Amino acid sequence: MGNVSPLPDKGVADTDSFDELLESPQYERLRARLVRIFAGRGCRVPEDLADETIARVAAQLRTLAPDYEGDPTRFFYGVARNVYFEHVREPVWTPLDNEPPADDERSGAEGEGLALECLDECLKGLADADRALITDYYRHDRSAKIDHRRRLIALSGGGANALRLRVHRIRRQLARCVESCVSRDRLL
Amino acid sequence: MRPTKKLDNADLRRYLLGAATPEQRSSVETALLDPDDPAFEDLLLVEDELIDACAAGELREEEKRRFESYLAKLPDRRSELRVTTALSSRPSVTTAIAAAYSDRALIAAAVLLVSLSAGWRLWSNLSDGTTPPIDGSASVSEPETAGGLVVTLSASRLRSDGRTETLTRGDADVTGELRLDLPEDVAVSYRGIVHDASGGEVLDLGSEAAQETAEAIFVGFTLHLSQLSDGDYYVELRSTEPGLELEVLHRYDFRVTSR
Repeated sequence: MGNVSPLPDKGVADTDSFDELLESPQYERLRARLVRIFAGRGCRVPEDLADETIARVAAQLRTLAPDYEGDPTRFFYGVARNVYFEHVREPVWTPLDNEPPADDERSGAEGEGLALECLDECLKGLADADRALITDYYRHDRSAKIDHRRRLIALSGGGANALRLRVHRIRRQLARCVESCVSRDRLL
Repeated sequence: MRPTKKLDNADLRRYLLGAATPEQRSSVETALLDPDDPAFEDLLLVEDELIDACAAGELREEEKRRFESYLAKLPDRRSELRVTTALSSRPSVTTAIAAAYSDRALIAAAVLLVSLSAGWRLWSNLSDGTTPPIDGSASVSEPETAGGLVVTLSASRLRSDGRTETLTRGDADVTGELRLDLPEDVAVSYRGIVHDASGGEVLDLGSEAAQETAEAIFVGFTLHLSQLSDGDYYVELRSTEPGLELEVLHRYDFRVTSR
């Protein structure tokens, strides 16, 4: 993973290596890792906490990094832990006016109908082979699914992992399309 | 070179389902921030698998609740779960599967069928006495589905018990279904890992749920013989069940030889 390393090499951390990280294209990857950690701990706003962690590390670079010896991973992790503990000690309150609608409210019958319409639309936008693959992949119940997926694996000419990766890539594309479609239609 | 893997997918699955101890959680979190550890990439794969399992109703109620709670904080992933659930509940699509694939895939399928046909004759050495099974417990049967050859191996517990099935390859790549018999179904799904004789891990067969017929309970994996050189191997079958994932449940010995 050397060429996609989101963090400087282990060893003595220095300002340059941290700076390099924050300016590197791997920044988003580091952020995604932090988001997973906060989400895994059940935080309501993992993205905000990831940003806060990175901001704090950036703010401490000039003073701490030159004297910090050791693995920068531990440094980030230490800051993330502090951010987490501060977060869980904070009282949770949100002004009613600004409170976002609950997920359930947004996904009522109307929202669900819109999402399904968007899904149909987005499926049409896929390449024929991708559309047929993803609809076939998910169409059987558990008992028939295993045999069916074996047939798909044979037809695709690759292994089970290759098929799974391909399906998940299409699914990500579809999810992004549906989100975008739903947001667009809500604004109309 | 890919760095050494410190955590396995069962650790990550347990982490995502909220079943990790504080120490295990700390290990996962540290690994997620370590650039030399593939944990993050593996975590994304486990998320993918759990989205499938969640949409298919294969998680227990508590697991489902915990995973959905986790996904609720990741908008992109939450959308993926919704899309997957919607796709899973759609009425059957009438599009013919063959029309769904590119020409390349169709050609590959045709080549595969030819290979299977050739491979069948080679693998059938098992039953014509060329390389007889030592105790007769392993068997090769005609395919019951369109999946291809079916080779069934019987389980021993952890250590080799001397039963070694021989799989013979020819010039063509042979692909078939490896059926690993189970004395009983104890987990939601199972992971098969192929090891060479020295114990080194050489192939991950992935995870599959057990299937049950009137005659047997088994886990089926697709096996491409071209991925293995001649030699002795064994499959370790592990449970992916939280709490049991570190336990190797059964071992299945086999030998690969060329014609």
